[in-house]
Amino acid sequence: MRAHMLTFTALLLVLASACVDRQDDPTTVHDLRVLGMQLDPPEVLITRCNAGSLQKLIATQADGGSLSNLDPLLLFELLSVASQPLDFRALIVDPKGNGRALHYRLSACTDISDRTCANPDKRALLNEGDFAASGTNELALQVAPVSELHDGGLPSIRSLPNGTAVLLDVLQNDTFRGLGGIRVPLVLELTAPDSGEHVYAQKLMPYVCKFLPDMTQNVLPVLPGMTVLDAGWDAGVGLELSGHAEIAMDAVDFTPLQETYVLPSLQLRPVTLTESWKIAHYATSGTMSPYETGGTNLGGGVSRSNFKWTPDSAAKEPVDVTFYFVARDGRGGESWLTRQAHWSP
Amino acid sequence: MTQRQLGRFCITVALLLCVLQPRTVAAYEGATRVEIDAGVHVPVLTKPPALLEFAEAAYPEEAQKMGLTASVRMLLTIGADGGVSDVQVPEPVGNGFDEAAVAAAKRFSFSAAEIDFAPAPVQIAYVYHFTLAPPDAGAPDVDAGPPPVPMAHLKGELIARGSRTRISGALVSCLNHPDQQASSDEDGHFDLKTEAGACEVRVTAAEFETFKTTETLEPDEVKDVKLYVQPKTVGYETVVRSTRDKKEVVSRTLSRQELQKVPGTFGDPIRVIQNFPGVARAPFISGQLIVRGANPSQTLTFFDGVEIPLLFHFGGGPSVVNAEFLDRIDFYPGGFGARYGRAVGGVVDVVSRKGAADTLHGAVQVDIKDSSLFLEAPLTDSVSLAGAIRRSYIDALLPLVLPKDPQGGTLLILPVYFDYQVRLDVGGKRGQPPVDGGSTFSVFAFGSDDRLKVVATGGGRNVDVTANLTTLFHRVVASWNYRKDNVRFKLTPYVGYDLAAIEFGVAKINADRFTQGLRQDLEVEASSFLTVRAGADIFNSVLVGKAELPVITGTQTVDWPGSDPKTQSQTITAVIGSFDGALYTEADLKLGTLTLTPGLRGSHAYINGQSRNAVDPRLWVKWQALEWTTIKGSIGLYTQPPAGENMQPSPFGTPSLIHEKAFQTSLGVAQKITDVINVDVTGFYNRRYDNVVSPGATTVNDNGSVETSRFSNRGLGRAYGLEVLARHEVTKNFFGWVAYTFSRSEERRSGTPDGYVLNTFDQTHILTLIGSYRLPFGFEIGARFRYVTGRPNSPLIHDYDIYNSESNRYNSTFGAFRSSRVTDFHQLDIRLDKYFTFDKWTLDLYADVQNVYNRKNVEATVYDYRFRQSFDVPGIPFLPVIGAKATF
Repeated sequence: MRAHMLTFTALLLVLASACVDRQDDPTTVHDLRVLGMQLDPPEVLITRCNAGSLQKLIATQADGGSLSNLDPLLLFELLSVASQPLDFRALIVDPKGNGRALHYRLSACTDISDRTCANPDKRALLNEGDFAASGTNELALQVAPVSELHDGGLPSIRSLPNGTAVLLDVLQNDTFRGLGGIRVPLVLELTAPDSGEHVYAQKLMPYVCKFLPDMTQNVLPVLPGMTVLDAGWDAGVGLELSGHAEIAMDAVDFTPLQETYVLPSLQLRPVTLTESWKIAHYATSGTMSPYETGGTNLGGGVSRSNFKWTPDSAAKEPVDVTFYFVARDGRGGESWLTRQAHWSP
Repeated sequence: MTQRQLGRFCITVALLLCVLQPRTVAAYEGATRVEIDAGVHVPVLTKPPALLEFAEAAYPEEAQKMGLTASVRMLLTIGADGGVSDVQVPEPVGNGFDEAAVAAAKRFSFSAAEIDFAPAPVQIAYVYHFTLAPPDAGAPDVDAGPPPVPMAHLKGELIARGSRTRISGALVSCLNHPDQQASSDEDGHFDLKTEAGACEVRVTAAEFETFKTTETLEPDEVKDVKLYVQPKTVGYETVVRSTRDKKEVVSRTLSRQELQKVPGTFGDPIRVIQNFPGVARAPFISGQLIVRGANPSQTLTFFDGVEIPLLFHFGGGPSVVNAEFLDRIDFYPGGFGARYGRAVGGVVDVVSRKGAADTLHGAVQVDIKDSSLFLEAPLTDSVSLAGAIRRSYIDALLPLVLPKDPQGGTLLILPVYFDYQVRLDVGGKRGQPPVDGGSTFSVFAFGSDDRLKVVATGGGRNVDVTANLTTLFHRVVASWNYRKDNVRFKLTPYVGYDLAAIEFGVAKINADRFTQGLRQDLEVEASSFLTVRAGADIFNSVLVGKAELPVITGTQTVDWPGSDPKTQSQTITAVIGSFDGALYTEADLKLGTLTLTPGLRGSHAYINGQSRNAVDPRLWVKWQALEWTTIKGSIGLYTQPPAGENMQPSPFGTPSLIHEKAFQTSLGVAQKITDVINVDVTGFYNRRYDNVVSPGATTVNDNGSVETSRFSNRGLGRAYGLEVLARHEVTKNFFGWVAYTFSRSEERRSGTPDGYVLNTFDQTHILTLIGSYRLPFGFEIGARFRYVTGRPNSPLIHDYDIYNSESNRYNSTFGAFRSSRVTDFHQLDIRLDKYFTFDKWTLDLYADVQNVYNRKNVEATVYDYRFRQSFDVPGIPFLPVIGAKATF
């Protein structure tokens, strides 16, 4: 009976929401934004690991973080995967910045609810520096969120200021004790010194225990290409667009690239899922509709990826427009494509 | 008597239309009992007043000198003590007769009338005849007397114009022969024996305009007529009562139509509850009852004592009960009797009424969203039948007003609702008192069916959506009432069926619920100072659920933020039994002006294989401090068992749930200011604990599997405040009330260091002003004004953007939780009715205008995608609703 009540309320809210003042459109990039963050590989699968070993790992916390009771083979694998450097990329767009220097800090945080990584006791700095958003608009780094390399190339477990291993603290704080992967939050803090703009962006790096034999490591979702008005639209090709009419765009069929994968249920039974990528669309002028395509709704309906670009109705002069298409596989994998166009009224 | 008036006691019975005294009630209704009674002839005159002491009127000297005579018709209001409290002369005759008659009538003394066996004020018509005795000429000379006057009979029926209700207790006379009178019986029949010739017929009855016509009667003729008499109020006579105590304290009477004319309620009497103290304003126009800080699910709704799953179509549409079917609504914002349980908030009990006892009646209502038909008729002297049906046609109208699918595909939104009620009564007519030693029976079937179909497919849209939602229920309720001496017994068995079904793409959820129950109530007035009530309240339901669903990520697996993968399909079945059996008892102990009512309700629940027990002790105290002043209080424990579906195994429920509990207290004073104005003030403090909240705890087992409790009993709540209701009873042309609530409602979770925060429905000040005035020429205008403190929210703080790359959404930053409020709500609603009264039916054209000055009240808050700014979602704008209603 509550379903009707909720439906009625939701319907009213939706109808009433149409009456509110016009809001900023998320598809129009007009100021400093982080549009995507990528870690490659997007997931690390720990093969010599099960629920028991995770329990032992948690127990080491009680022993003051000592890893002496841990299965040596697991310890070895942990060190091995932890020391594996990851390629980190962030898509940072700053249309009004004119190439200004942005200060960035990338930290690993063990409290997933601390979106700004504000607690110094729960964070480990991974990288810091200045960056100018221009060209590819990508901040690219190599990071090892849960390990660090010392002089001489010897890896060690990355620790918090109190000496607790980052991986261990994340596991300890996880309600599900690693059943959904040990998800290490990375927080990128961006500051524009001239304007005071401040953006925090969080990305999770999952270290996944192989609870079930059929579990495989995730790979990045990479869009094969884009089309506009049903014609291919390659990178580096400045498309000529004109008029104020909306223009249909689409992604080249990526259905075969969506992986089928296995997860453990809460009762540790295998659950087979298939990725249903979502694509977010952005433009530096005009608006995209809808904001996001893809995914599967509660009724099992799979979204198509038709979307449209509507030129800025107020624009009177030609303008160069950059489009960004960010794909997410729903497991932590992200990638993006950038396209250029020149629009005239 | 010579040269004296001949005071004649003409009519003393059956004129009860201004009766304000309702049925017997116990002191336990203490805290605040607001009863809305919208039925026909609910109060029954069980004992008419009898004239004990007559007072002669002084014959006006001038009139006497001039040889004038007169008959003064008066309306006497007789108090519960038998004294005459008010005298009105609707049609003054002048020459000093009116003043003399009034002065005499005020010295009359009557035996107290009884309504439903309790002393009560009544109003009667009384005609005082001033006649001059003939000159004393010694012994009459029989031979010299005039020849016998030829006589005739004027017989017939008195029928209320517009409603065709039979008029009882009316006085029929010929103006030219005022000594020859007749009164109508309960079926409206009269038989006037009068002199042949022209008769200037006059019919007088309380609450009716004086009817005049001329009939010519031949000698010895028996002439049969039907006289349609214009009522002062149009249509049915019904009552609404708001009382603290049905037996001795204040009660109020409104007509059904006045109840249906509270502006902003769309003519729906049940929505009137939302205008009483203690009820917070629900968002938009939803029908949620938020009573003294309790969640809507904690206030139960009954129909004839049987719990129903919903009171309004689609949760916020019209009520599922046809207004014509209502006898009354009992609304208990708290401190309700031990007869009721399974609720820690309030209780609403909607009571249906018997079918008409006189003839066929009906009503047809048409407005922009639905149409309804109501019919009622007596089948025999002791059997009556009533039925109602309603169906919406929004599904037919919406496609006409909705724009074409902007996506170029197919877009359909088809909501349909339907409801019905059928009631058969055997034994005892409506409006008649129960026969001592006799039984009455009834069978009542009612139900509701809501369906919503949404189709959005094709065109340029990326996702095709097809959804079907169905919610329906049916109930069959039987009732046996028996009364013997001081014992009353009632047995109410019932069965029901509910269905909730959702189809959304490949997902299908179907939940059939089969319910059975039995109520038994026994009341024994053991002595003048002791009344005992006891009963049983047994309820059983079996929920058979089947769902075909994709795997629910986040519930059955650990979710990844923003993830919506394609999943396996699964079939989930569940059979959940819920039994709750309760016994209750109460006793009224009358110690002079003090009445104590201790009560106890004990229940055993067996829900989804789990046993739960509860014992609820309660106490009510009432002190009749002064004749017009009553002080009352209540204290008690209230429990509500967890829903069976919430006690499913993890991850869909929590088998360890226990009863929610509330400790409720209240203290109030009811003060009668005048005959028509009452004020009551009630303070309350409610503490709720073991509230069911979500989510519950998550436990990781040694093998790494996870148990998630969907719920826990860690909710705490408290609410306290003051409620004021000042009400002007129905008078000739006006009714209205002022309701004000000052309250605070807070909540928290046990086991956390967090303190109490405001409840999401907390509204510090709730003021409601309602008034309705009857204008000439069949017009009536009503207004409702509301002022309500804005609901709590959390202040938005934006110093920086916080982006979550997994979900591709931004996070918000708020200040202290619910430490600010949206702007205050205020709104004016106006309703205008125009009646056209015909002999056999009445037409009411109405316009109910919401938000007259188009105030942009805040109903919700939305934010831009980065949570930099907040935007107010306005509520209902200026909204006129027009409709028509025909009754006959």
